[in-house]
Amino acid sequence: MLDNFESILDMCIDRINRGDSIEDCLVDYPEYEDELEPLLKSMFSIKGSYSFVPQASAKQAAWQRFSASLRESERAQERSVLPLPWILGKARTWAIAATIVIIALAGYFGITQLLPPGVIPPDETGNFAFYISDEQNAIGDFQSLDLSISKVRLYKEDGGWVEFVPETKEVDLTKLQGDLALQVWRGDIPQGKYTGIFLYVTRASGILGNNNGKVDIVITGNKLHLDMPFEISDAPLTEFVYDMTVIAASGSGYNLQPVKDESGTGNGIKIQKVNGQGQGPGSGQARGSELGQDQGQYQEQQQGQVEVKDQGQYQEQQQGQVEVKDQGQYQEQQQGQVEVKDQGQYQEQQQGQVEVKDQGQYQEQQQEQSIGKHQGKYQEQEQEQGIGEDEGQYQEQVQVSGSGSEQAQGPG
Amino acid sequence: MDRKRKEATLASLYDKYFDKIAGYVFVRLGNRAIAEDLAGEVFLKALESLDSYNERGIPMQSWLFKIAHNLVIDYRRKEFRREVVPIDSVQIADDTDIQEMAETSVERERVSKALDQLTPEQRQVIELRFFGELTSDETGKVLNKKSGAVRQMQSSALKSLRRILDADSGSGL
Repeated sequence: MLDNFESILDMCIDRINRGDSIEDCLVDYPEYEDELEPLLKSMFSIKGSYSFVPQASAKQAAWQRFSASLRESERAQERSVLPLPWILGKARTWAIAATIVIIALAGYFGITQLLPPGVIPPDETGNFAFYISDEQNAIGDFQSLDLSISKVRLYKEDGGWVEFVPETKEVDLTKLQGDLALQVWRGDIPQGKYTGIFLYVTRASGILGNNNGKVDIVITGNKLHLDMPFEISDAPLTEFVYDMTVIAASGSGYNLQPVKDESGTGNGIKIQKVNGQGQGPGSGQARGSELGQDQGQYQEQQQGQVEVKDQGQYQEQQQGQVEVKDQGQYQEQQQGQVEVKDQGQYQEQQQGQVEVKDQGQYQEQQQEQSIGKHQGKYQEQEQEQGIGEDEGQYQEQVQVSGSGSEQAQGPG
Repeated sequence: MDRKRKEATLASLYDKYFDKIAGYVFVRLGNRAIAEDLAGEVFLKALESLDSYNERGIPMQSWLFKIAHNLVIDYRRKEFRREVVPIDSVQIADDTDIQEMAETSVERERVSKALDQLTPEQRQVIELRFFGELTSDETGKVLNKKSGAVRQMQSSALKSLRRILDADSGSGL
């Protein structure tokens, strides 16, 4: 018989964990009842306060993922099995052959890109292209918001999944707002119906505008789950946009979540393809008329005279005269005369005369004359004459010629 | 133990230990959705690292809780101090008693504050024994302590908790 109180208490804790009542334990150890009872009651109460039964659907979904991984692991083991006696008899031959294969693989994939079994390699001519995009919410709070994506899993309707490692693993969401989307991978995915996508993120952090410091972005379980059925048919190419958004949470935190309405493969999903943000094959489709000398992708609908010397990607709908010498990306809808010499990325909707010499990124909606020389990132909404006076929220140091200078940070 | 046997053992533990691991994560992070998510992640991580598992070291269920402990730490590193709960993950069943939920929440807050006053080691023992429902031997394997040390810590922790909760409520639990 145990005479150590701690051992008796330990046994009673085990019994309560197994479903016994406090009374069941006290009956067996009546000489310790006065000491045991209050402690066991405390234990009962503590356990009860955190009583938690996982949802059956969550447990089942986790089991499906686990069992799919288990099947893949079993297949990988089967592929790696070789006839042992023959190996032993041909050791030198196999050593030479294995060396040649490893060198060939390293050369084909790159020594740092040897992929684990079950991971689909990239292919520039593949039937599936995967894009990342960002839906604007709190993204304007950030100068940059970097994601490191380690892998992507597509879940099949039959319960299995396929996996690939993005060729472009690092993306800055601030550069992928709205319809802008960056292709991070292309390859061959088995045809069939799929039910959703997990995006595995190893790092998500941003630098707030106005030098307000670095923040980490909360992603539950380090992965983003997009629950969305889609199909890969026998079409030459299926393009999938995975749209996400960062939202301000309570306090000073931020969450990152997938956006179902803006994701998928449907015709309603708009893509403005972004080049040059990382490695990987660039694919582009030029739609619309081409005038001038440009490199990249654009959509241009214009009436009037235009001289375009640009590199990059833009959407331009204009009426009137325009001389554009810019590098970067922009969306421009304007009526009137515009002379733009800018580098960077902007969205400009204006009516009236504008002379903009800026570097950086901005969103500008103006209805009056605006003469500004801006450096930095800002959002400008103005309805008065915009010379160093603007309303809205921005983080910048603006120097406006001829009207004094303006330096402002934070909400205006 | 070869790979296939390890996989079979791991799969056999799923049904019983998923709930316990989720309960353990829940008491540490306080979020049901995250607890369910990380519980699933524990088994995936275990499968990925199965080749490194040595059965002569610790029981597999203890190893799973080590993985869970590491995932909780990783999660906390990336999280802000304030817990963020996406609004669409909060689900209230139609037949839920709201008052009961509120009372439970108040009690949980009380217990949470009491747990915060334990030493880190005492707290780990309570979390693994009460919520992970591991034995003191299994708990010792997770924490690299002998089972006798575990029993001693759980006894002193439970006595401390009772004193704290009594003082807080003004009556015994």
